[in-house]
Amino acid sequence: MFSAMKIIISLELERTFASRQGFIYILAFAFFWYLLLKYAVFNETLMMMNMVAGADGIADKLFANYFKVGMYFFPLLCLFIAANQTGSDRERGTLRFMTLYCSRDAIFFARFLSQVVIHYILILFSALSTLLYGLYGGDLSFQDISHSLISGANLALIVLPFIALMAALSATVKSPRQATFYAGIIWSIASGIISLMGHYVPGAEILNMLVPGMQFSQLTSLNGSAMFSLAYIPLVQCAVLLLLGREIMRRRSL
Amino acid sequence: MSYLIECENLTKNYGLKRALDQVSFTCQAGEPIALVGPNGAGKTTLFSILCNYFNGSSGKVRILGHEPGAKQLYGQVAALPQDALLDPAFPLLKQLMFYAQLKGFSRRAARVEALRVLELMDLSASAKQLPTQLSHGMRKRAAIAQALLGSPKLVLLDEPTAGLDPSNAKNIRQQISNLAADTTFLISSHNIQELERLCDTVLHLEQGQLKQTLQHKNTHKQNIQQSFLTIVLDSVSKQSFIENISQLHGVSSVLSENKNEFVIAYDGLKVPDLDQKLLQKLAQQSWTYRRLIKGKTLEEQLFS
Repeated sequence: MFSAMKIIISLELERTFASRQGFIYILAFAFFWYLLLKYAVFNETLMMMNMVAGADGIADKLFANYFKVGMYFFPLLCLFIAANQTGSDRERGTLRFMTLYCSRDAIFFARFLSQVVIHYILILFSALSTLLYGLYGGDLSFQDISHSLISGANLALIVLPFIALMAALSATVKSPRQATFYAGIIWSIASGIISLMGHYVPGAEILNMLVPGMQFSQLTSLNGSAMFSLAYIPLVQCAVLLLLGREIMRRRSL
Repeated sequence: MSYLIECENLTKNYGLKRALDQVSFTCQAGEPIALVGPNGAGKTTLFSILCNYFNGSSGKVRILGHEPGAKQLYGQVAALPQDALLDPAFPLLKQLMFYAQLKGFSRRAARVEALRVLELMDLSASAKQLPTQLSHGMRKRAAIAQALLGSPKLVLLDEPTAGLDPSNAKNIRQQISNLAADTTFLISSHNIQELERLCDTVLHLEQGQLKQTLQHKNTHKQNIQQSFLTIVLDSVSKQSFIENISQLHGVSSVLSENKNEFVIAYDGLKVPDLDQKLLQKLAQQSWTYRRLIKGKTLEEQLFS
């Protein structure tokens, strides 16, 4: 199973990073990230520094801003990039070829892991670019690399349940567009309904645990390595969604 | 005894519709096996269950002694699924190498194997093309090339020559014949003549039920009391032919349903050499023939 997964992951990475279409996506990402970095992260940080006379600790603020932007940007990106893990292949019939060579589990988990690797490369790029931008335009030093690593690692945890959600949805629906649509519904409407239920049914807030990103508001009040105290939430959500997606993948007709 | 395929009371329901109804059969490895039946008979459903694309509603299926989808079958069972398309993002060679690697080939060996099957399907010149740049027939041949990777023990081909030009259809039949010594093919097709040429065993499905299982070629070899000869003549008076042949010793009936094609029923125990006597009669009457078949055509066996 693991050798099959390795082969599938390698092909998926080639699809993203070595194909013309993948190259266009990467360029689009780089351009969009540059705008976010310049205006939403760096300028915002400088503005905050100017507002507080004599403020120090630009690294803290820069990476706090980077994390806040990334916390919404990467899950949103995930809804699009990770939306086509198995859906199109199933509709086209390509999965019918693949399942003759390896298990559905191998395909499902390999496609999930491919997306994890792709997102981690993008997160690493974003963290490094923030660090470099800070070094070039601000008073950052190489010691501030730890801020960059902590923020990047937390973003890496945050995206996991979103990728798992897209894996499960992709195993269910017919097209990436449908997967993105349903993910939008789950992310926005479901959390709204759960909050509403909380007003009438005592303890209903616990259902929020099922919604990826439910810990975002708590995360913004934490700094540095304290953010890891909430790491269990995305990890548990990811595990539950992967088990659900795997079951859908196993039962679904091809 | 371990069969290549073993189905026992296999049933598949789609809601209220029953696509397969208590289908039971066994197949041994060897000569190609034909799966025939009208549209909606359940052929593709049976193929899909054998390939583990979905499960049957009830009954038992075993391939090489394992349930469909078992890890022991990866690489042993290959298929040309109906209407399935290769990934449009990668060239043929890349995709075939990918499947060969999944089958356990090293990267270098996978390239050699992919080029070999492309050559078999006369697609070497298209190795670097994307599936979207190929015609329907070429895409089908590429999918068949995928099924021939490695040395699978069982290859399931759903309508392998449908939509192909005669030359490529002939090439595929030739490849199936060439590979039949090591690989057993299960072929679903509406082309009865094609199946007649290729297959020994014929499974006839109708309305989800296995109507009959024929050992097509063996019936020709046996001299039994009720034997048949099928002859296609160039041009002859139907009346005159029937009258002349009916007089031959041992002939019980001469029937003609198609123009210039006659089915002669005779006692094979009394006159085992009727075919030779028939040829002598043709020579006497100066009748020329196109085809002489010992036994009935597959079409006659299935539908008469």
